[in-house]
Amino acid sequence: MKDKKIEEELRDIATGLSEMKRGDGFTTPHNYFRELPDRVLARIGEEQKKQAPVWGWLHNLLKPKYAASLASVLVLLVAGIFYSRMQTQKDPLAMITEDEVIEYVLNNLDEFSSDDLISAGVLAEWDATELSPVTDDELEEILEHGELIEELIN
Amino acid sequence: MPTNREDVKETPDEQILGLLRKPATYELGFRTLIVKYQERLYYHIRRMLTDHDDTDDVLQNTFVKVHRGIEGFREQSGLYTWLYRIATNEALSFLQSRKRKSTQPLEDEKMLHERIQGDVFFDGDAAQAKLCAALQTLPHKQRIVFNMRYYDEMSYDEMSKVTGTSVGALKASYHHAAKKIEAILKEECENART
Repeated sequence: MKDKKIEEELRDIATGLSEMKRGDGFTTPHNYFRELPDRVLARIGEEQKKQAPVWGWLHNLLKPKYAASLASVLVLLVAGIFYSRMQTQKDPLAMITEDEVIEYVLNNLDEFSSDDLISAGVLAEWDATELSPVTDDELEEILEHGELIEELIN
Repeated sequence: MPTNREDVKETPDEQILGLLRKPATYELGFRTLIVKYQERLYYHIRRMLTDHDDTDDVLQNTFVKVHRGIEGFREQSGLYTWLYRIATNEALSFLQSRKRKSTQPLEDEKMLHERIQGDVFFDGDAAQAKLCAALQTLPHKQRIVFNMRYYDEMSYDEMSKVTGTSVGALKASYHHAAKKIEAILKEECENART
């Protein structure tokens, strides 16, 4: 043993052990240490090839030299999403659904002109143009029915 | 840059790390690192696992992990300490995984002794085989501590950096391990006499 301090320590703890011949008796196959560097480097090369298609580009992006560019792109992306959300929140009409609009219009038809309804697509254009003027005969018939209805009600 | 294997082993760590920092010299740097440290790491792992093939697997895994982690290596801890720590963790993981997977009962000292003496990559004497077999009966971490101090002659400070354990705890662990080993060897001697 080269280190006297370690030897003395062992002698104090286990005298028999300190007197034993040092060495572990292990050996290796012929040329093992000569060939190991090539084997390790070949294995690393193979692993890199396997990783390249899937992780290669991502790994490169995460390298320090690309990190600044990647960070800038991410900041712009986050800012874009944030700005878009802000714009949506500023316009309250953008929050109302189409069903809610239709329901409101149908409940308040009197407040809208035919032209508004047509332009909004609520009333089809033919509904208005194809309406023909009421004739005197038709008017009389309606009035008669009206009297009949009144009688039935009363 | 030296080309002779023995001279390569003398390459200072700073020079190896300098080569590893540049892509153009990375491979040369990594090859130099392997040549410099492979034998010390091999025997450190081998004393833990005893079998050459297992040691070869674990040593290769160690170097692959070193390759993956070298960019993040912080030079506050020495290169050797860092390599030793990776090798130790790899050897411990291997032992734990083998213990989990094993369905066979544990070998006793006699079986271990016979297995070691029958190993084609063992040329030690009977006493060395007995010591090696006795070491295999220690808990994994105690075995590592004993090997570091007894075979690798590491200081407690170095051992503390590798294992992340306090110097006091390491001293106690080494003391227990040495006592246990001596007791096992004494018992075997007495059994052989009777």
